[in-house]
Amino acid sequence: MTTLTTTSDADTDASPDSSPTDGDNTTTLRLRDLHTTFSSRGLTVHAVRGVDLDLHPGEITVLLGESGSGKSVTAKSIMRLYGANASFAGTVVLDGRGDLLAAGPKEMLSVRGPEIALIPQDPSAALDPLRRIGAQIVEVLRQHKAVPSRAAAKARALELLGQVGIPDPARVYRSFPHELSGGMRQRAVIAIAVSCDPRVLIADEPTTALDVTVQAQILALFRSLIDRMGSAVLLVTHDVGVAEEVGDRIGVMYAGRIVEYGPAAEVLGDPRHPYTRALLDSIPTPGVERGQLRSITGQPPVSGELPPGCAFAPRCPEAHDRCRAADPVLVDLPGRRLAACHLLTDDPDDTDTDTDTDSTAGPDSTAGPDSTGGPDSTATETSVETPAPAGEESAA
Amino acid sequence: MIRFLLRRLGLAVPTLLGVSLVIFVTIRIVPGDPVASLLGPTGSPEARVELTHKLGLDQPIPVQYVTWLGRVGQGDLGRSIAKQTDALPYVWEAFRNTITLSLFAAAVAIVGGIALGVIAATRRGKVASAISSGVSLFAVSAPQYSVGLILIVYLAAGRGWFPTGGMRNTTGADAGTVADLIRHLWLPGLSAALVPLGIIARMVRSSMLDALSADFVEALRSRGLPEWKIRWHAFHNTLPSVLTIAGLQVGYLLGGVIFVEVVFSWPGLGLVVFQSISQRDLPVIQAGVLVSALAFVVINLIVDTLHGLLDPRIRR
Repeated sequence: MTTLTTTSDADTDASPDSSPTDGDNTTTLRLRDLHTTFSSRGLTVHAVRGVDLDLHPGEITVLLGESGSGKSVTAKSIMRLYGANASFAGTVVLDGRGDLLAAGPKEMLSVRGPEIALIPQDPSAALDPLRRIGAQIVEVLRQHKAVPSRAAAKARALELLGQVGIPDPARVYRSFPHELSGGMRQRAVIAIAVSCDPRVLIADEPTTALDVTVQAQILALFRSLIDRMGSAVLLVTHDVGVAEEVGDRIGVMYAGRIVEYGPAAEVLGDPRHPYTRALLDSIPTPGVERGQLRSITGQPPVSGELPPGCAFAPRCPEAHDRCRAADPVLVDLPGRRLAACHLLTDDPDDTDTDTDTDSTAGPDSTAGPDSTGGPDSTATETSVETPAPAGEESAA
Repeated sequence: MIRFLLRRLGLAVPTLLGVSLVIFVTIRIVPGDPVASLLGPTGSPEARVELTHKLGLDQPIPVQYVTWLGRVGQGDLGRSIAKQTDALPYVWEAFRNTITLSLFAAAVAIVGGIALGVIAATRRGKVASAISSGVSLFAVSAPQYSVGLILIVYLAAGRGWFPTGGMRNTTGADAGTVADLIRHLWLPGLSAALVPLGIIARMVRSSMLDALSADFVEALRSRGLPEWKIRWHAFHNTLPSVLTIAGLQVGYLLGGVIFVEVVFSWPGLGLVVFQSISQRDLPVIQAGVLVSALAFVVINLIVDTLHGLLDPRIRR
């Protein structure tokens, strides 16, 4: 199962040790070294800085991160839902379609909908307020010639509304968006998204605008739809609970990069990157009495004002000199996991020199001689097996 | 929908009553004495008293109002003091000419305004957008009377491409032909259309830009709809607000485009009211203003109905 590669070997397939061959080589969508830059009036924002990601059929891959981490931009870049002020680099290869970043506008029209569909964040804003739900579904079905006739389109639309768990499809078909509850609206939006049997579904915070009980229903629906359709799913969320509930794999994003990646249970159960740990730490656990909720100090960096070295270093409790000098790359960890943190590399002088690019090798060599930094980091690395945060949690 | 309409209709009654009261009181408060203007400077005091009594002007204002309102309820808007004819048919004849002019101007303003606004919104950063924004800004700011005069000087007087004025009534013995009417319509129609055109264009532009940046537009794009269909959705969403503005403008036009009618001597409501004011012809002023108020109320009713048809959210 090819999952994710380090940035250094972006063009080749994943390095052998990170992809133990399960015999499952199906990858529906493959992102390699994706960069997204927005520029307007001389101001440039580098929102996504080299993301590699593979989406597999029937699997939900979660992009988890704070707002501004670039997770939504990554998702929308796949569909190229940005105007002329956005520029992309890297490749987004859709199985059988080639590189979407190189595709023409016409081709993108036939990709959006039948190949890759989007479930946007706010269901009330995702529907045209002046059109009936039925008309909005039929419009998409007709656009992509998914049905032979107008009558067939209506029948299919009613069927779709039933499939997303709407109890009274005929009524909802005739309804205007404002006549439906938030949960029903999101179901209708999902019905539109899955109407052309997309191979890839991108869900951008699909439950954020809903209240908690509805959230759970929608997530359950989502899971069952995907199990049946076999779509590859990219789910963007800032909500660890959502990631835990439906995620098969999780990519934790920070400042436009994936800093940790792996199977959901392992990433959430045994986070290796300090940022992931801090993120999980800042979540209140029901039933556990705690004094004050912990938060990550400081703000996520504004793109364009990125610190040298690791982007998380200024907020990282475990940062040391090397973190401030060199940007860590994703390294393979046991259990098909990846993380980008200097604390995880056994010997900083060794691992970096063979994989690193020139830009990181430079500062790295200056950090190397600093003998106090090196051993210090390996010392923390051994204690990284999380007794520290876990102990604090139970004590506090 | 029916209940919605009935409620709107119910609201129109107090509106019209309020309008009538304001008109009546205002006309009696502003300076100017109809008796003096009728009798001229040579009128004797006895004649003054007699005429004042005959016109009912010696009664207290509330009594005058109630008397007048009672007559209005029976369709009697009094007699013109200056013309010595019934005020209502006289005003009505003028109002028909105003309707012709207004509807022509409204059609130009709405079609042109929507076209300019959509171009300005969708060709952003291009020359076409700058031109249409410039044209609509000019249209809003250009005073009707000077535009009318400029059109007369350059297109009518001397060249004879268009008549400078002298529109004849569309009915009656001296009625002109339809071709004659159309020839007379162009210049006053365009002058009257200019301001509403600019206002509508600017409204269309801003609400189109709003609609195009709405979240549902991105959702539509993510469904693989071509750009023209997305713009159609956005345009549909601008219609409720455009309709409101357009309705107001048509209302103003129907109220008599006074400047334009005076400049082009168009025998419409505006010209009649203008003349009646200078002649202190109270019944005609009252009838004229009441008719234009009624037109405004009717236009608003139509706009509200269309609004309800266009936007399901306000239908209830």
